[in-house]
Amino acid sequence: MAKMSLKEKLAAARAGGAAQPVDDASPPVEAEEAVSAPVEETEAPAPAPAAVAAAAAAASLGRPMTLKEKLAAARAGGTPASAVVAPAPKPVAAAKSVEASEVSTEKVVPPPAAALGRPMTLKEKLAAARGTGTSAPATGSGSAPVASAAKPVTAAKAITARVLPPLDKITDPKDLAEALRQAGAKKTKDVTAAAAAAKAAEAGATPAAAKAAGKATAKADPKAKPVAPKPSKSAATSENGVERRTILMIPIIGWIVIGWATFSAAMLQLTIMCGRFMFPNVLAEKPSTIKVGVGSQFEPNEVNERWKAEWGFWIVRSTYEGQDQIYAIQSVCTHLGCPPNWLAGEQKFKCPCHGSGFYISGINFEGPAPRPLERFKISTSDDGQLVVDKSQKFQQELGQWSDPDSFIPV
Amino acid sequence: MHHQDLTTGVNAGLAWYYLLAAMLNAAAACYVAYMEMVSEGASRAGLGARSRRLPDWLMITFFGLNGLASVVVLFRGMFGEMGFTLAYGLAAIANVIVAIAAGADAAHFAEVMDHGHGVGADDHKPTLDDHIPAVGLGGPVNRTLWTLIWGMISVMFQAMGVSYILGGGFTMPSLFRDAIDYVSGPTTFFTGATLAFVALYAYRKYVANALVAWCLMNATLLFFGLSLTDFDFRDIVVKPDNVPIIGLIVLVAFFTWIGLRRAVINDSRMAKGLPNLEELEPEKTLTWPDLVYTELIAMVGQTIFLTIWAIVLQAPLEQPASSTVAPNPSKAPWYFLGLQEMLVYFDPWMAGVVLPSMIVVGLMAVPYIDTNKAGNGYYTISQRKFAWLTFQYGYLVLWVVLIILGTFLRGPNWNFFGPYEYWDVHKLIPLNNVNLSDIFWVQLLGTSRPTNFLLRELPGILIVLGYFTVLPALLYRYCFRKYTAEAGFIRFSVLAMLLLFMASLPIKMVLRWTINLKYLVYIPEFFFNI
Repeated sequence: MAKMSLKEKLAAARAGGAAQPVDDASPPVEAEEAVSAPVEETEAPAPAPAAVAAAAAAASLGRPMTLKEKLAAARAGGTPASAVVAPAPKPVAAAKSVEASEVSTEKVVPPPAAALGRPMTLKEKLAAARGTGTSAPATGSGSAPVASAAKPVTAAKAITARVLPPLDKITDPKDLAEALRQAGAKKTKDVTAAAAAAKAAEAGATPAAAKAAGKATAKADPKAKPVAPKPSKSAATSENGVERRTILMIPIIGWIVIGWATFSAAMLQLTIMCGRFMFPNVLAEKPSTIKVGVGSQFEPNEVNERWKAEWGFWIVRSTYEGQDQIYAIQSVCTHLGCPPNWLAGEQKFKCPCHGSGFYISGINFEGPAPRPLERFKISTSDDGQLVVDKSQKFQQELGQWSDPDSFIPV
Repeated sequence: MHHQDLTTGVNAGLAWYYLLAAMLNAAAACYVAYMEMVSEGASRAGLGARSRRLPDWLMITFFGLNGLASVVVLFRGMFGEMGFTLAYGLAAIANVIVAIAAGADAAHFAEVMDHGHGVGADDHKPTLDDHIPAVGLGGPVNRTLWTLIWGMISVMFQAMGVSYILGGGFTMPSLFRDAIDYVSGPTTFFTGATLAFVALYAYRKYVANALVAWCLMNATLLFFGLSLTDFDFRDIVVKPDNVPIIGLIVLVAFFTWIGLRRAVINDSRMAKGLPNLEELEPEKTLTWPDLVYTELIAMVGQTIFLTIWAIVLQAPLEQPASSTVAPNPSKAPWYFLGLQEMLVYFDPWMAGVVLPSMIVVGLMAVPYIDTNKAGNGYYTISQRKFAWLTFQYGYLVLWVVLIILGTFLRGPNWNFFGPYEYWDVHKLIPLNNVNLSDIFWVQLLGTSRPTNFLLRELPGILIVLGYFTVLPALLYRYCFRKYTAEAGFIRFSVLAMLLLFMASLPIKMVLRWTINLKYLVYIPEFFFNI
């Protein structure tokens, strides 16, 4: 694939950075410098330098670049670009790598499709991209950074064969860099964290603290997580840092605790209030019973709609199972709860939503309703009036319509 | 209860409707007469014709007359009652001139060709006057002939429009209306839609042809225009609630056709060993800024369009909601009308919960079930027949057609009404639905139903179990053996289940219409009905 994996990029970047001292034969570097250098390189493949390389390549082409070329250039430029940002002591090296990147860019960009005599198909493009992708490292191996990457990597393999001395006793910068690299390859994130720690320490304005942080990273066991101390831990080894930071942190921690406590209390109170809301002091509900007048006022085969709109039931006087009855039918369809309408012409209840139909008795006969309409409890009060109680229902399919509470015989 | 079919307002509206129809056909005539169609089929760019330019005088005349008409509309106060008629006349003249000029020029080009004066006529290279159709779409068209046809249709539409603006319009013959009302019903409608879908698939090569498609569109325009003269049709169709469904029909038809056409061209190309249209595409474009800018512009345009729509066509505000009163008919939001139609045939638990969940889960499962790698990045039907048929049937017939049915043809009490039928609240359709247990025990065996519900519903339970066990085995045996070998047994099981659930809807509909079947399994004791 044309894309390098993160690991490969990091290896290349690190190798490029660490190779510098060897070329210069410069004096041994401080530990923290060695730490910070590879770290910054990990952040190196930024879009800006890549774009610079790409623009340079575009200038040499003498025309606006196509998307393909841009991508290829960006890909090729990505690796050497890291060398540009790396805090290399010698700017010449950076310049070299930039030149190299231009060269490699031109090599990598596939020739325009003119040779084919027609625009390339998608398949061909993909094939081309894949081809350049694999060949890119090969052509690019002429460029300085990649070449130098190759060297230390092989060197590193050789070095890992022999046993490295403990980190604080390393004098050779090569060995130190290698030890750090071994550690870094295990956990790149930790390296970043260490860099942050080192930076924070530097920001702390005391060089001593910075060195301490550096030492802390260096002292750690190279096999496990050597370069991953948390800032607080590294600070703990330095007495000055501990005191200052603790003093500084006390008011901050206090405020954080107060803030969270207040927030939690508010949330708890809100939850309690919501719960309380479910139990209102006053319930403005209608009583469940209503008087509907004396039974003699209902005609045979009459459906009285007076109570439908407000109370949701019909008073029906009809013959059910051979008996003349008065009963209250709830005006809610048993399909999905729409209110059906009484069609006097057809002598049926008809639901407007899905077309369920019910006889005057409430028995379903057409449409999707699965069961008959439901009856409310009906009884006679002391003054001779009928009383409908909505709190009790009677379902035909459960055999409840034979219950004497479900109708008034006439 | 009968309302007046034609009023002054209706006449005016129809006149402008036919003006637009005439303009569309005049444009079609110009396209065939003047456009360069040489490269059609050679590349994707060739799908949209490059202009050979209309004659300048024609452009000036057309836009000048229409501009003049706009001015007359703006200052109609000065012209009294005749303002709109005058403006209409100007626009109509512009249409007719364009149609006639296109026809005359096409005839002239043909004559020039015949005399051998066409550019490159000697060495038989394609010239501007040739038409090279896209691969798979038949031979080249006779440009003179089709220019004349579209021009004549344009003039005909325009004549109809003029007759309406002069107040002398005509209505759809009531015999025709009655015949349509008589044959229409949920059965004929749904079966017809299914047959039309099968025809679309079988004759896709013809439908993909632009001339055929344009003919169909003209027929639809004429049918819709004539139908609008009917009061009851108009009453339902122009309701602000229902106008979007008209838009839906137009959009779904257009995009289905575009996809179908490209698939047909691609299939023919690939059969001949040519690269498909998508492979001809010369260069990819960037998401940013090309796509994002296009989307931004589309977004702004949509916002403006929707704002104007909301102002012009206001959704009706009905009476306050009440738990005891429901509008009759009560309709779900338009996009759920397919589900509402399903509720007529199934238990609410099935149609409201199980089947919608199966739709969602099934659509999510498609990428895992589909092992056919063809059709990746290009339109095709013949390489993905099963996928195309299944999806388009589910979408076009079981969803869109049911939305149209629910919107326009379901009236009060959820009864079915023909397109020209008055929505009578008291329309009586005797529907005595019976459960399978009744059919089996009472009607077939002549006994009463057993009291034990398990025994009572045994026939239905056996049928449902058989449906979900025997049919997968048959499907495996006769249709999906190769697929199962490729994709594995689990994928096949999921696919078979989804297919059977999908098929259960049309099956249940047919059972309801033919034997008035209500439920196969009817256990109200446990609210369990299938």
